[in-house]
Amino acid sequence: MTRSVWKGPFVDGYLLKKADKARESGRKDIIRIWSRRSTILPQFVGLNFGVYNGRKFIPVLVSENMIGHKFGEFSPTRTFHGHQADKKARRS
Amino acid sequence: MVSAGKSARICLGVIAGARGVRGEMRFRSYGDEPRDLSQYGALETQEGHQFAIERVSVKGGQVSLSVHGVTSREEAEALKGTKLYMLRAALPETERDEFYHADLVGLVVKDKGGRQMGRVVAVQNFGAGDLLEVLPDGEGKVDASFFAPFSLEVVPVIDLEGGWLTLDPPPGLIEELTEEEQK
Repeated sequence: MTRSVWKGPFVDGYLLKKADKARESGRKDIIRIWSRRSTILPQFVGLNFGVYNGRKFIPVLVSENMIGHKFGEFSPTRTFHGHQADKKARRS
Repeated sequence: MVSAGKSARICLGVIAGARGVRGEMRFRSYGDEPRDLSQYGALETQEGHQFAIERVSVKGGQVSLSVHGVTSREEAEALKGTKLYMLRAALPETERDEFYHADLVGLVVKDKGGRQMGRVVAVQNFGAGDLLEVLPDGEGKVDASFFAPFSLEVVPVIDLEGGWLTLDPPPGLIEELTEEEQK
């Protein structure tokens, strides 16, 4: 067994507490977090996080296919404003 | 910034150079689906010169296109750096709850009470769904902007003709941190 598998995924403790609290309350508040290094766990699915990128909080609604990734992956620290062209956005 | 009306032009990309000796050109597409270029009919340059697209091919992420009237490498090279535009009105209709970025950018953002909050300055997707970047009124710097999820709960009403949308931000999206959160 490799060391990383044995150790399990890393998550900051405060984040787990915040997520538990939000799930119990059943509210759709944005949970502001600074822990970009934390791994997204299955119990975070459906919760709304605001992940700090050094300047602002980027909303991240956690879905199943994000499990195993880090929060920081969805909150880039450098924003590229590209061209609009014929790009479409879907209201989910 | 004002939302692109139906008469506005949209830049689809720029000609990056020639490919081969028969007038084919490399094209740097700004859109998500370069293959759709052939469906848009004639594209035009900034000066209004029109080009009829004959063929679009995408190989390994590289887009190349052939246009009517350009048959040699020299002619294609001469067009390097030319941006190609199309009319917003020529874009096909979108599906329900699907919007072109060009339509959303520039919309006035109102709260549930109808008070103006700011404007949409960009639409982004960082991998967790589409986000609207909203610049609050009275703020000049883009740094003052905030991101809102592009969902039915947060953006319940969009009036493209009226040029506005309603934002119902969830708690924690805009407001300052409480002391408890700062710990």
